[in-house]
Parts: sequence; C-alpha cells; structure tokens
Amino acid sequence: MQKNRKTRISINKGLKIFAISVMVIMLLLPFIALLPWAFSKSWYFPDLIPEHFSLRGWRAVLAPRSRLIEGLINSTLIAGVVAFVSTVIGLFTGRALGVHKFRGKRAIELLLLAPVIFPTIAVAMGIQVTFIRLGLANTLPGVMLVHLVPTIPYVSLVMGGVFANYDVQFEDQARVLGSGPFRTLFRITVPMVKSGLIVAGLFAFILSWSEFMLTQLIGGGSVITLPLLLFTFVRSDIQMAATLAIIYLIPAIAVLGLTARYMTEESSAVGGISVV
Amino acid sequence: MTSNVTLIDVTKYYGSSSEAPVIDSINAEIGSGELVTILGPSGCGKTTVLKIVAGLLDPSSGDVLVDDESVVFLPPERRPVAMVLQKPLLFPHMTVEENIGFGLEVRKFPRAEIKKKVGEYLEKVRLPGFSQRYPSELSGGQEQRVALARALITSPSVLLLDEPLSQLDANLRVEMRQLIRQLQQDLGLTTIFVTHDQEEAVSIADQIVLFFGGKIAQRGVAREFYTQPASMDIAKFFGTQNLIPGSVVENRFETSFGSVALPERFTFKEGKLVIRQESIEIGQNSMNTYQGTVQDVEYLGTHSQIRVRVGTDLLTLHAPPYLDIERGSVIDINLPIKHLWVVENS
Repeated sequence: MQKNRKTRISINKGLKIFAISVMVIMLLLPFIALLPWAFSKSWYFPDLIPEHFSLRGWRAVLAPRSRLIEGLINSTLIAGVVAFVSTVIGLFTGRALGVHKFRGKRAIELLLLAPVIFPTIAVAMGIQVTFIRLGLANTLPGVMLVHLVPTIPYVSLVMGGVFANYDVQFEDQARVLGSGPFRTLFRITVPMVKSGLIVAGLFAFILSWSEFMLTQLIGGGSVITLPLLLFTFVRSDIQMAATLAIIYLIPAIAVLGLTARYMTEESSAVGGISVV
Repeated sequence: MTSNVTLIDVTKYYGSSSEAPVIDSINAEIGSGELVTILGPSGCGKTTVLKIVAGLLDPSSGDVLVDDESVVFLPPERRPVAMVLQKPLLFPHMTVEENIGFGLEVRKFPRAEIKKKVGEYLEKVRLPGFSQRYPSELSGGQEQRVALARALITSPSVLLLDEPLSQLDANLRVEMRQLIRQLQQDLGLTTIFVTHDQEEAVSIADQIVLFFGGKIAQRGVAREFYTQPASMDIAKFFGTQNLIPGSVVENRFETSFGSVALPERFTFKEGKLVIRQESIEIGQNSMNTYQGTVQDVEYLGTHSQIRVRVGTDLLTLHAPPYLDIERGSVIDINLPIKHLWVVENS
C-alpha cells in the first residue's frame, strides 16, 4: 500500500516534469528560432546557424523611420488602459455572476461569450460603421474601446470563477463593523480577490497587446501598434520582423513573470483556469 | 453606552408575499444590559431577525428601535450594533491586529490609539501576543475570539451574536460561552445571542425567546421552559419526556392511573400533564403517589433512566445512580404537585 502510493507519487512527479518540459519547449523554441534571424545578415538552407551575423535588423528596427517607438508607446498605452478598464468592469460583472443567483444568468453568461464566439471581422465591421459616425474611427480611444469587446468577456468570466469561491459574508461583516460600501470594496473585496484581478488584468493586457484585426480596422492605419508593424515587416524584411518580434515578446514575458506567482498561488482560486 | 432594543411587528418575506413569511409579526423588547437568546430549530427565522436588527436585511414591514429610535432606514455601518457571525470571517489579508482594529480604522481613530485598544481587547479575549499573526495561523477557537474582540472594540450599543460557537468543539464551546457571558456582564452590553442549542441558551441567557416557524412560541427565563412550557412542542423541544394524556377537572387532572392534584386551575379541558423526568420522585408521599411496574432500567452514570408502567401510561424518571432497581419490580412513584403543569392538546 505504502509502496504503491510512493510509486504513484513518483509517476505523478514524472508526468509533471514532462508536462512542464513540453510547455517550456513549445513556448521557448519558436522564441529561440527568432534569435538567429534577428542577428543574421542572411540565413540559407542547409546552414544550421547563419553564416554571417549582423545587427542590421536591430539598426533598421531602431531607426526612427521604422515607427517602432510610436508602436511601442501605442501598444503599451492601449493594452494598459484596456487591461485596467476591463478589470474594473470585470470586478463588478464577475461579482454579479459569481455571487448572485438570478433568472437568466446562463443567458447572460452566453451573451458575454458572444463577442468571443462570433468572427472578429463581423463584429468589427458593425462597430466600424458606428465608430466612423461617432468620430471614433482612426483614433486611440476608438481602438481602446474596440479592444474592450474581446477583453471584457474574458475578464468577467475569470472573475466570475474567482467570485464563485468567495464568501459575501465578509462584506456583511465589514459593514456591521462600520465600514461603508466604498471602503468595504477597496479594503475587503478587492484585496480578497487581488490575485484573480491581477491574472484577469494580465489576460486582458495580453489580448489587447496581440490584437491585430480590430486595431487594423478601427485604427485605420492611423493608430500604429506593434502587431501592425510586425505584420508589415513579415512581408518585407525577415530580419526586421524577427527583431521586432523579440521586442514585442519581451514586455509580455515580463508581465507574465511578474504576475506568475499570483497564477500559481492557491488562494488565487482562478476557477478552471488554474495553472500548474 | 448600553441600549434597549424593541422589535415592533417585524415581518419578513423572501420572494413573493403569497408565500409564508420567514418571520411573522415579531414583537420583542430587549432591556438595557440584558442578554437575550433567540432559540429555535434551524430554519425558524432566528438569523433573519438578527440580520434585520443589524441592517443586513430590510424587514418587509415593521420597525426596529434602538433606544426608542427607529434604525430601519440606516445602513448597517451607521447602526450602533456589532455582529459576530457563525464563521469567524476574519479578513485573511489582515493581521489579527488589523482585523481587531478594523472597526476603529473605519472610524478614523489615530493609529497609536488603535494599537493600544487592540492590545487591551486581546487581553480581554485572552490572546495577548497574537497581534501580528494572520488568521490562517489561528485555531478555530482563537479565530472566534478575535472575531469577538473585533466586534467589542467598536463599543457597540447592541452586540449581535449569530451562533458564534456552533463550529467549535464541545469543550471549547463551554469555555467560549463563559467568556462571552463574562465580557457581556463586565461591559453591561445589551446582547442578542442566536442559537439552536438549548443548553447553550439556558446557560447564558437572562431571557430566552423561543422561535418556532418564524413566530415567538414562548419567552421567559430558562426555568419556565422546563417547568411551564406553553405547548406540547415546546415541552418536547426542551426534552420533557412525560406528556400524560387526560383531562382537566377543576384543579385535578384525570389520567389512566387516577386523579392527580394540580397546583393551579387551567382554562382548557383536554390536555397533557407535563412533569420533568428529573422531578418524579421514588417513594410515597401524602399526595399524588401511584404504583407502577418497572419496564426497563438504563444506567447512565450520573443517573439511571427508568421507565415505569403506571395504568396504561409509561412514565420516564431519573433515579439516583446508586439506587438498585430491578426490572419488573413494583415501585411507588410520587408526582410532586409543585412540578406539575398542563399543556393544551395541539
């Protein structure tokens, strides 16, 4: 019995190590493949590594002409604002979904998923017409608004999962101890779901950071973000594209690294999306 | 600082008013400095009453007064009450000190004063030196004591306790209820204590309000529930085992084994004679003595539980543990007149 359990544990451990290795390799390999491209002058078959290294890609990308800085600023600004706004909204929608039972709750959950299920292009077309009328097309706020369409559902569902394991009685307790609704929100509710909020915010950030179609359609080429630049370079200059891809990945990996501990934290209780 | 609480016709419906109300026209007065327990089986509306007083629920109709002023339109944070719930509900992201000080923090007390008062209250609940711990590092009993300190530190006019001991083990429960009673009396705090445990209610309360199905079934001091229950259900709830059928004739009660003299007259005719199993005596007396056959004897250490067939009725009585009584023997039993009571058939 004892021995049996031991072997099972070691099998589990082995599987875990295998799973993590697969994940790391799958995530890292494409990234590693970018490196030779980014630092090479040319790289032809059958060379295993490029024959000539060069910083041409970097020089070209960092030159003002490449609009890298503009793209970087726009991408950061948009993803940051989108992450913040959708997390704030998700806090309340998630709380409503997780805590309350009400008629039509399933319907609302499905409705929330609608923008994710429907083809982005169809959604964006309709929105574009409206945004042109409202003067939001080709503007930064317009792009931010349209990015909220896919991020709010994700964030709401993640927060709904978090709030499903949350005891509203904590809020009641705070109220009877003399804390008003606002103080209760910031001093009790938010700290208690903090990990969930951070993970949800991260999701929203990454979604917005990598959004191409919506930015292209609503930004109309006036709002340049990193994915747009990347797309341009992929077709014209492979070294520049690889270099930009590295720059593009770094913030995402940094954000992931900073928030990883909240994902694995037991208390994060990210229903269904718990990592490890 | 302490206050009286009055409930006037408090009624609460959940959902539509076509269904039966959870609590129905509750009228009660809780005097200043009194500890009143609301006792009742689960689902009888006890907690609903408490939540209405705390402001966590609005009554469908009726009024709640604290010191003769209505509080029903005040949100919970502006009512002069503090509440401890069934679960300790310590905020997991705060230390013990921050938890206890929370009520003062929201009232914008200076930091130094909060720290000082938290120290005092930690002493009061016998947890000195625990200020820097997190709730996850405490045992169940410790958590509930912190919860108590957190409520008391706000100097409430009324303290509301919603089954605060139900999740603790038996020994701890006794210790905690003694602590609660002691603190309540030291502070002279008006307290409403909700419980489903009659022993707990009896041991701690000045007054007991018994709830059945959303209504007050009886209120009074603990002894009355044992000796003078208002109905058969109440007698059964308090564990009275002898409910002897018969009828009232003037100041006597006619049973299958003869006529029993009563201490007073009752207005109804058909009913049940109530006598506690602890109150029946073995042996002869000048009045109310009957002969019966012992059916079975159960030795329980502190006493023996004996069932005696008298007439067609089976009476249960507690005999001293040292008394040797054989099954099948014939004994005299006495029903002392001062312990007799009659309830109407329900």
